[in-house]
Amino acid sequence: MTVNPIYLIDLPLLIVLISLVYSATRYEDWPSILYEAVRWGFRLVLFLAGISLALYAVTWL
Amino acid sequence: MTNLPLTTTPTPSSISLPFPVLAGILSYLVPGLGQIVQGRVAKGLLFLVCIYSLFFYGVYLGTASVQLGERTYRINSNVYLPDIDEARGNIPQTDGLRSIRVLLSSLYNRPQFAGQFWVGIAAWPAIIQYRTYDAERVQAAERELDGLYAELAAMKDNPEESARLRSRISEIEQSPVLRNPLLGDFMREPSASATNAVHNAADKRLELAWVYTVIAGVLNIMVIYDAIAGPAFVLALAPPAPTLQPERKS
Repeated sequence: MTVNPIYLIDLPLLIVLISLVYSATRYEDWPSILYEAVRWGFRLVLFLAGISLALYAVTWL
Repeated sequence: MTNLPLTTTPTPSSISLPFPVLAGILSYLVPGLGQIVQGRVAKGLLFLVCIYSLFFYGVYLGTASVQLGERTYRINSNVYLPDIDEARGNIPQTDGLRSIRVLLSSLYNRPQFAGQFWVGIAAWPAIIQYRTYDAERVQAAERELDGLYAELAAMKDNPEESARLRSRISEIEQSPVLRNPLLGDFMREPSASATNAVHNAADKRLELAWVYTVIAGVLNIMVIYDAIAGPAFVLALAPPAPTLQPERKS
């Protein structure tokens, strides 16, 4: 399985920016925004990793 | 995972939100501008930088060109609204809601724009291009270009004729039918032949690109809401500690 290395730049950028904006619409103070952004970033990574694993598993069926 | 170590409440009463409607409109036009006007400068700048980064990075990823023979096929941004010529043909001129029906038909064919629109002014070039796009004349020009390029390929040994054809091709490609005088082909619906040629050559980045621009637009809806109604959760004041009341003596 080959992955175009450019995607490794695109995806983290997407995760970081979405997490920050979403969190900033939830909270007003910076500690809460940053804390929530980290949590959302972590959830997104887990979700995408899960999807990737599932798709990878499907290729073996 | 632990919860926030802060007491939160869904009532944004402790935040001052002056001019909520104006701020909402400003945040639609330029992400974060409403928050900046309200005095929430840092947060407004965060929205501005993050949403414009997503949007313009998506525009950059969605811009590509490919050279096939003499002809260069180009897609200039993936933010555009197609003019559906079939819809114009199917909806009678007498229909009072014709322009709305054509617009809905165009959005049905390019639903991404329904998300991209919410990024504000940055997506307006696509609306200007849509309003000035003349599908019939564009198709006629594209057909003429196809013929001229075919002739050019057959005329390689005839420099004079090739020069004449190239001049005519350049004239058509630069004409206001194919390029807006102000915006050029930025955020203009690409021709079907350009779409096919570029998508065949450009890996999957063009597909990835519109994800960025659509997400930027959808996130800005939340930013607009934040400007109007404040954040979903704000820090609450800690409830006052219970105090013991001395018993009254009767």
